[in-house]
Amino acid sequence: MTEKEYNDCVDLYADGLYRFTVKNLRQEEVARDLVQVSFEQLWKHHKEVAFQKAKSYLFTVAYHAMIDHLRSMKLRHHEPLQPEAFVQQPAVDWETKRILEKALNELDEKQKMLIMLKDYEGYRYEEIAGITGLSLTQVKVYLHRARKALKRSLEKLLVF
Amino acid sequence: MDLQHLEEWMIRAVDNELSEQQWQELHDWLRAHPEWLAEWEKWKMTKLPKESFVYPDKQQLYRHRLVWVKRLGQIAAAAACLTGLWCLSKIFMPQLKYPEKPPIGLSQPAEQQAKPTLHRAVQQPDPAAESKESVAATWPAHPAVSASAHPVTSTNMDGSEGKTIVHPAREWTRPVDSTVFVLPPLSALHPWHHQPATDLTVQYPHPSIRLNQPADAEAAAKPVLSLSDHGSGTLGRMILAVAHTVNDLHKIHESLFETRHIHIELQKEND
Repeated sequence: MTEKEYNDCVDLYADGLYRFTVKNLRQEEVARDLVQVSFEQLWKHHKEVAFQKAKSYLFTVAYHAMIDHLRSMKLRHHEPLQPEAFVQQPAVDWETKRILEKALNELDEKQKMLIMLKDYEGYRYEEIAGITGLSLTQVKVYLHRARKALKRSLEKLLVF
Repeated sequence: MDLQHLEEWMIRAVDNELSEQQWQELHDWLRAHPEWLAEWEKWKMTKLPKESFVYPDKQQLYRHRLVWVKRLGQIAAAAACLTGLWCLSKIFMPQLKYPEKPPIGLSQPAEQQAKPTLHRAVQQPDPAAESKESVAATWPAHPAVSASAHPVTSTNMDGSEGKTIVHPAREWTRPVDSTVFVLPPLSALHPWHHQPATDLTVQYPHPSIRLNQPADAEAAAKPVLSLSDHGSGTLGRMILAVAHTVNDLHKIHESLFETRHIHIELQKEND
């Protein structure tokens, strides 16, 4: 890709990548660093990466960087992010959202990342498989289990 | 559809992985079994709501080389606009008039330029003896100027020939330290539009200058002498005027500057 296309990638994907990393790591500083690392890698290989593949390339780099970071830190705390970290909130029930956030943080690392890739970025099973390096079956299984775990948490905390 | 597949279908529906046909089949089944709608709602709640985040340090991610290229492009665009405006001004705007080059004589180095100065003649010529013939004033600094009594033929502006005669009786000497063009004393200021008729030729190396002195008696009392150049053709009419006051002299100077005439330094006569 050209330099202009690279800068377009910054405009298009920096926010989503930051959301992906900060929601998974729940540490803004580390999330910013990982975004920077991801874009540095993209620039380093910008001549080999096509503009159409840039998004999946960025999320692939960010995903593996997060996995490595979580493994090294063994991070398992569940404090929710402060509300001011959210720039724009849709009109949803705050109670449901808080419970869902709590349930999301109870998932394991891979399940949480896959759910985010699915719901935030809209990737298909095959694309998630390409980003994470998992097989298609593994992706379906992980997501299936993640959905079931979230449903159980919601059933426990909310009165249906 | 059985219950085992129902859960899988609902999850895939939340993941948006069902085909159009499968969507329709699930929809029809739920309409047929409304008791399962609540279950379906629970599965839908597991989908994460959209959240917007803004990465705060985007400027650090950009490649600045592009910024410099943009700036260079902007500078180049501005330069192109200025160049275009300059070209348009050359095409559509009238040409600027630059000051005219100093006429021949004034552009010459000071030591070469003969700056005529009017002085009252040391030897006052007898007005009665003054004739209508051409009178030549000596110009001792220039070899072309003859102080002898030899007649010199010059061509007038109208093409006719006039004779230049140096009359020994009216040969005026010049002061040692100046180049003086001595004329007979003049009594009044002549208006500019006067057109003298007779010739009074002054031999000047280049171009030759001819003084046109009025022929009639009335005009003879008027002090203005016009110098006309018929040499190279690059000069217009030359006018030499005598002013008896400083104010008049300034007016004459202003007029000379506004017209294509040689500006000849004048000195006020001191009687």
